[in-house]
Formats: sequence, structure tokens, C-alpha cells
Amino acid sequence: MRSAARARGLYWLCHYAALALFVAFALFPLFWLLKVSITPNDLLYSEGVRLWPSHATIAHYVSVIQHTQFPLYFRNSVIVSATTALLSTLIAAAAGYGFSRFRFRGKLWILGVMLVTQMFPLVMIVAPIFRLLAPLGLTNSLSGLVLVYTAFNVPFASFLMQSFFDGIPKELEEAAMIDGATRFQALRWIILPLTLPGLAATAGFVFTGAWSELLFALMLNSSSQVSTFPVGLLSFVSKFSVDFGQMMAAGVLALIPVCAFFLLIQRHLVQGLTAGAVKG
Amino acid sequence: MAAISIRALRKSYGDVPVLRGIDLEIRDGEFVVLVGPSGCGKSTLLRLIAGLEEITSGEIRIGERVINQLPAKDRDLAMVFQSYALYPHMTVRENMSFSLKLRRMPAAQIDAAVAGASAKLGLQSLMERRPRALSGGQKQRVAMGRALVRDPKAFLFDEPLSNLDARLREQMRYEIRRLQRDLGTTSIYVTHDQIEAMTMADRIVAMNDGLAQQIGAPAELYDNPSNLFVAGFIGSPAINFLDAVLLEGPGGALVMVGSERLGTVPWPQGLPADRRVTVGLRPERIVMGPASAGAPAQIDLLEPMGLGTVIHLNLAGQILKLFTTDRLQEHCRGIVGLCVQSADILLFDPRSGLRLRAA
Repeated sequence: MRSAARARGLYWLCHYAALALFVAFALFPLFWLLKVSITPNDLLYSEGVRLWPSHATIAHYVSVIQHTQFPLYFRNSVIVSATTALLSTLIAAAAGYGFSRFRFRGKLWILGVMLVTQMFPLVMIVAPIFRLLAPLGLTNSLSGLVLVYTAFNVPFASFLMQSFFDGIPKELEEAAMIDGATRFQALRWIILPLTLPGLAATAGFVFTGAWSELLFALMLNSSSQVSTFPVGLLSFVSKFSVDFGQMMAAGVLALIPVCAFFLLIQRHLVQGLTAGAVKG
Repeated sequence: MAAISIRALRKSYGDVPVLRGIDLEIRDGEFVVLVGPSGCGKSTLLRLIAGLEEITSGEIRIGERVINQLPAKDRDLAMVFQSYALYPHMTVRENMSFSLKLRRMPAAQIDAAVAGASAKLGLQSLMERRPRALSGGQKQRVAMGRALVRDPKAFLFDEPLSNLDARLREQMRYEIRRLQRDLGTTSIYVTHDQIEAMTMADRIVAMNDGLAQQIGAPAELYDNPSNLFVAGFIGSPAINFLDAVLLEGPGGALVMVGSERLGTVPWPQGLPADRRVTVGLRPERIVMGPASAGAPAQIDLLEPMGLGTVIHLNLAGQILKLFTTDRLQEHCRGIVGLCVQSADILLFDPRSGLRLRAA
């Protein structure tokens, strides 16, 4: 009895130790980001490798906000990511519902083609996309980016949403229709509230994807007026030096919206991701 | 409330026929049970009536109106699902008032209707709970309540009791029947459980293979089955089927099981040329006496059930069951004589499965 309890205690101890180790491993780069961002430039190379600088400064933050175009990049990123998340989630929800609930001709083909789009590396199609967007005036514009991001996120997001809709028993809709609801009313009052976790998970997934996307943001938009923040980060790398302090400060600032967004949806998210995991 | 009339109804999924021509007239206020093994099409028939599936051909009327093309929401039927299908994000009260809200009923009327239905089902103390916080029996009641709040043309039940334990099932069986009697609402009830069918139905539709095998009152299906399927499906312990031959005898046909004489029956119509038949014998209609008094059979095993005893017997190499409420010695064995009334011997054509009736 006693030894069983001790064995169980030991089990949990190891359990938490393993988790703590993993969390430390995953979060250490973020810690380093924060540490470098508050280290004065003159201490960065002189102090060697230390966990915490001997004195801290917010000078990098001040200069990032006041003397660089970072606030503009930041704004651009928010616009692009939020719009992409919203559009992708709406389209994916509609598509996912259709795939989950209706049988129609060519369904298998559409699903197959959507899967194929996920298979090749994006680098291959940067040039054709540029050629397509340029005559339409969609290069050097935020709408162009939103369009491209949405197009590339919708297939996977649709699969994700479909698995959430699949998880909702069809009988709930049937019960609603027998109760006197149209298909749309059943969707609005029964299915939608139950899919919120799925919508949150999908929106979160798309948002972070768009937020950190570099390739298209760099290739399609050359004007700094429409650059997003990952592109902006590159501007801290000059030909002869890298301004690590400012770069890291900008990085920390860029984390804020993502963290805020996830904090907002996290309650739905845990539920949503696990539900999707079981089904998908 | 309304009568429901079904004519030449067919349903196929692609090339696979599920319903192969159903005709059924359900009177206003009648409690009809569709019973059959899984895959017989009974649930499909119910879903066609509900409007959840499209019919392939035929006609369904509710009252005077043909509703083939009418969407489910406009049919004004209420349905209780096997899984209950309660809306998980709504409280019991919201679950029950959802249909009334969709009809834009004034709030005061909704409250009154919900209060009335919840009182009938004893749900008052659960009104603010969500389905996840309810037991199986309570969910079942809420599903009933959701059907009761509005006054639908008919209730449809799709195996509503199959997720409950035996005792609760017995109680809900009684409650559903009593509610239906008090409300007088036309009801169609699907089950695979022949006891539910027997105890609840005004009329039973015994289904198999996409066809209604027999439609009638429970006692009629039990006493007077029209084919082997109905005879075998209805009744527990199940009916005995024995291979027999009819021989010329004084005053009719001698029913011979092997070399043993079971009884004399009037000559039936449509007898196969070789005079081979399948005999159906209800276990409780066989009387056991001393070996000399009837067809001699060897006792194989006793199954005491409390209410009575099922006796497994061997008659001329064929196995049969006998049910008796007599108290028997536990180690009763040996040879006994079996006697059967002529009227209790049901004859079937072994090839077509159809009942052979006296000329």
C-alpha cells in the first residue's frame, strides 16, 4: 500500500520533470530573445554568455518604436494576418460544412486536388504567382498578400473544419429541422455554437501562419510601405553588422499580438485541437 | 393529430433497395410499432415519414395532404431519436423551448407549454441543467419533453429506449404508452425489440427485407402469423419449428414428426406435392404428460425463469422448447408425452415460408 503510493508519487514526479524539461527547452529561445532585447549593446559581446545582463535597458524598444518603421510593419502585419484569418476561416467553415454534410458529384476530386496543393514547396510557385499578380496590381499591396495567404491556407483549414463538423452528430441538425428549423437556422443556432472551438483553432492556426510568413511577403512586396514585420526584421541586418538588440526588441513586440490572440481563444483551443485530433 | 397514409413507398440507395413497396394506413390517434431485425428498413421508413430522407417513389400523406416534397420543418411532426440528439449547449429549458421559439410563439405561451410538458415528465428540477449533467433516463425524458411541448400531428420514435437499462426501459415503455393514451396523438414507434412491440402497439408492422411481412394487432401476429419470419420473430421464448410430413388419417391430415404422431389437422390449401411442411408450435401451447399420453420426447435440459420453466426436449431427433408455469422437480428427466391442440399446430410451406391454412 505504502510502496504503491510512493511509486505513484515517483511516477508523477518524473512526469512533471519531463514536462518541465520540455517546456524549458521550448521556451528557452524566447527567453533568449527577451534577454538580448534588454541587454545594452556594449554588454552584448563583452559580458560573454550570461543568463541575465548585469544591467538592463529599454533603449532598444524606444528606438525600435521611435526611430524605425517597425510600427508601420506591425500595423501591416496585423491587417494582413487578421484579414487572412477571418477570410480563411469563413471560407474553410463553409467548405468544411459542405464536405462534411453533403454528397455531391466530384467531391472526391475536389478533396484530392486540395490535398495536392499542400504537397509542393511554395518556393516553386513564387515566380508564377508574381507574374500573375503583377498585371493585376496586386504586388506591392496588402490585398495581394491576403489573397495569396488565404488561397494557401484554405485547403488545410477546410480539412480542419471538416473534421470539426464531422464530430458534430448529424442527428442534432435533423432534430433541429424536425423542430422546425431551416438548414440555415439549424446551422446558426445548433451547429455554429458547437463549432466555436473549431473556428478558434482554425483562426489561430491561420493567423500565426500568416503572421510569420516571410517568403511571399518578401518577394511580392518590395516597397517598405507595405512590408510586414518579418520582412522588417531583415532590415536590422545590414551589410556589415546585425543590430541584435533592436531586432530582438522588435521580435518581442511582434510576439504580443500572437500571445494576446491565443490567450483570447485558448479556452476553446485546447478543446478544439483535441477534438480535431481524435477525429482527424 | 392526423392519420398517416403510405402508398407503394419505395426507397433505394443507388442500386440497393431498402424499402420495396410499403403500404400502410395509420389511423388518427393510433400507436403503430415498426418492428424487425436491423437492416429491415424500419428506421428508413420512419425517416422518410419525418422528411429526413427523400423517397424514391410512392406517396406519403399526413391527413389529406401529400407531403412527399415537403421539407421536414414544415411537416409538423415530433421525433425522439435513439441518441436523444439533445442540443448540448442548451439547458433543458432551452432544449424544450427551441421549437416554439422558431415558431415565434410569445414568451408567456412558451413558458406555459414548457412548464406543462416538464410537469408531465417530472423534469421541473432539471430545467436549468445541460444535457451532459443528465443521466440516460433523464435525457430520454427531456427528448420526450421536446416532442411534447408542441402539439404535433404525430410522434415518431426511433428506438428511443435502446440505450436504457432493462428496468428503466420497462418503466419508460409504460410511461410512453400512458402519455400517448392521454394525449391521443398518432404515434409511430420503431424498435427491434419484439417485446416493446407487443406491449406498446395498437398495431404492429413486422418488417423484413424492405417489406411489411404482416400488419395487425399484437395478438393477431402472435396467434396467427402469416409466414415463418413473423412466427419466428414475435414471441419469447421463440416458437418451435419442426420438419414434418402430412399423412392421410381418419378425419384429416396426420402431422408426423419423424415416426411420431403430433396430432391431426384439417388438410391445408396449397400443400407442396411431397407433403413436407414446417410446423410452428408455441412453447406454452404444448402440454407435457406421461410418456404414454402423447408423442414421446426426451427431456434434455431445464431452464428455470422464475415465472415458469423452459424445458428443452428432443422429439424424434428434433429439438424443441416447451414453456410451463408448473413447478418441476429440478432433476426431471426421462421420456414424457407431448400433446398439442389441433388449432395450435401452425403449418408453413418450408420453401416459400408462407403459412398453409385450412381449406
